[in-house]
Amino acid sequence: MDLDLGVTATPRAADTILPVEVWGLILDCLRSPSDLLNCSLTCRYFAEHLKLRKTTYLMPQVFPVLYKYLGEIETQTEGEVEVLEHELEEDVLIRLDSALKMRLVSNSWKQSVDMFLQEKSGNDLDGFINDDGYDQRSEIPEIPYSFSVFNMRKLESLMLKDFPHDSNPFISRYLSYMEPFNRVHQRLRPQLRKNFRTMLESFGSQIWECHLSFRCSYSITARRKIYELVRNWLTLMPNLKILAIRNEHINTAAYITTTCTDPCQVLLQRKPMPTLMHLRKLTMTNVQFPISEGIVLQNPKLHNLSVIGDGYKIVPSHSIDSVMLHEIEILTVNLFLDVDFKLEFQNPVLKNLKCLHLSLARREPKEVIAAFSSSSFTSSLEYLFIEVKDRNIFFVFKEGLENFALELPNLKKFKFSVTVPMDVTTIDFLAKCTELQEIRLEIPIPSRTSGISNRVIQFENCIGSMQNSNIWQLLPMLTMLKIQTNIQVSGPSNPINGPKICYTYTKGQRGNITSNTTIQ
Amino acid sequence: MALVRVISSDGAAFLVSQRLAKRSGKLKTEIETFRKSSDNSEAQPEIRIVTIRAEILRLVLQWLQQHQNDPVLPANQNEQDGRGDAEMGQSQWDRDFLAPMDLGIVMELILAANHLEVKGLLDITCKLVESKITGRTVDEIRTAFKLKSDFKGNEEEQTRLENRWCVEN
Repeated sequence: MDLDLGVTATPRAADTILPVEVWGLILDCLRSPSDLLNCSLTCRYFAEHLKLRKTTYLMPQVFPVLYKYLGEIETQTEGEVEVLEHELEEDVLIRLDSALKMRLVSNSWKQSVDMFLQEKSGNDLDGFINDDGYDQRSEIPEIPYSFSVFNMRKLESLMLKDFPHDSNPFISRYLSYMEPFNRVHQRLRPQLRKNFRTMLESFGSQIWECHLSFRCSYSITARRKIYELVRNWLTLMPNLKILAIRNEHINTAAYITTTCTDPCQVLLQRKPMPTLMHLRKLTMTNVQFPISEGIVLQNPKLHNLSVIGDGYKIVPSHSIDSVMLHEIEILTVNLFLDVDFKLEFQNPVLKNLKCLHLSLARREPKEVIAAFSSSSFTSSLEYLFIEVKDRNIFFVFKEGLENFALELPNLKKFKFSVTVPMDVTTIDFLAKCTELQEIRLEIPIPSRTSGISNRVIQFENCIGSMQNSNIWQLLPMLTMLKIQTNIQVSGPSNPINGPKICYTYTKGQRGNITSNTTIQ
Repeated sequence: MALVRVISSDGAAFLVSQRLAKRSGKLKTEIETFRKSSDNSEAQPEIRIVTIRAEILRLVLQWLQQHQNDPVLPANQNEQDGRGDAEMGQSQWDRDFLAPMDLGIVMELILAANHLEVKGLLDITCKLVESKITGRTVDEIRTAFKLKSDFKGNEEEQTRLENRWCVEN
């Protein structure tokens, strides 16, 4: 047979190149689902040959679609299909049972299930870019790998079964640990910690995503103890990709200032946290010094960092100042007390930042916007989400956004969400972001008018007819503008409750603007 | 009648009405994109589906043809668990349509319906595959899918142990 396979060769049928038996042997060697699928799409002969193996090699792609359908039982009654209604929990259990059974059918099915569960957390950067909003938490797999006091007895019995070390019981590669918080269960804490450590000693290297939740007061002793505990555990999980740590102790509003003589500072030198080579995403909620610093210091390749303070300030500035986080692309900051944003944003380690999600309370947004002009990420930032919220409804923003400008020339998407009484009568601060493609505003309807007529962007009094605004000329790349606001009612407007009206404006390829209004 | 030319991965072309094609979310978007970018409003859109071969594309179009007058199922129907109400759309015709297919073809149809965003077809095909798994033993599943166990040594036993850990916890 002529085996001329050069670029100039004329396309020919497979059986004229090699005997069909030889093709059969070659195709039988293929293992990768994507290779098999590609081959089956190549020609009829390949498709025919691989037909019998279809239920094997297609499963990795079918399972993610099929997964949500697992968990329904149907019975046939007189030709009619009757679907039994299940409580959600029961659905999850049936789904889990089906998924586990599928792992026993064949190796490739097992890999399909495992791969899906391991990837379920998703790629956060893509999630941020593609989603309307911002999903701060990764989706927690349904397979229950949460160790708390309530399943401790079972955990102990599993430990006694001496599970073989060459197996991986963590199908999803996910593990969470939550300490008992109430006084009754606190006495079980030492045993739970011991069990958790025992388990990590056996299987810690299998874990890719871990969520740790504990309760730590502000005393130096408590913080040192938790530091050492977390350090020991992280040492046993060298392959972590995603780590979330949460301190549930939220009643103390103390702000920790550190000094060189702080005994916790010494810990960072003497017993540094382990370097986790694969760690890309770190979320810290109410985590105090020195754990917060300890982890960030040793893991400079973080791609996604979230610093969340639930009710009081934590210490992100110290962490961010002291390390080289040049690879960080996504930063989430959710703080409630004093942060010098100007100083934070000027930090050169943030020079590659692409996505920033700021959640603020008791801070004037204009102050934050002003801080952007001198930020180190002026030219890199593409996605910005500013959320202004406050638990104390009596805190009212007194000043608007006049006289401020966002100077972010490469900004593509901007979302501004306000859930406090605040009059947003202008969006002139966006006029210099000429690359903007998408703007989403969630604002209360202004209770007053500014009375200023010489705005750059026509916005005030025309949020219901923005198709006629000059914004489309001023921001030529803009293709989507979405404004959600509360419906005007008599009396003081309520920005939080009540129906919302949503105006969506879309620019077509010919430059025509279409509008759509919905009530939610 | 406005037509659209839909071309499969292996080059087969199907001429279908735009009204019918627009019942697929993906084809609808493609037609609208074509309309926006084309200066000639009379031009016939041509859409290449590089991931679906002719045999499967024909089945999808056949299903769409049969269900062209059905109400369109919203993509987010029954969003809580991600399922649409498959039974609402499943008729005797659907059962006859799926009956002669082997499960390999059904799995290809799932991928095609998912890619082309045809919710009703996705629901009935997923439901069919699901019914061959839920409530069945492992051996019954292997028989239904014409699969044989390819575990080596004690791999199957280890998988059972892993599953047990998961369930018992």
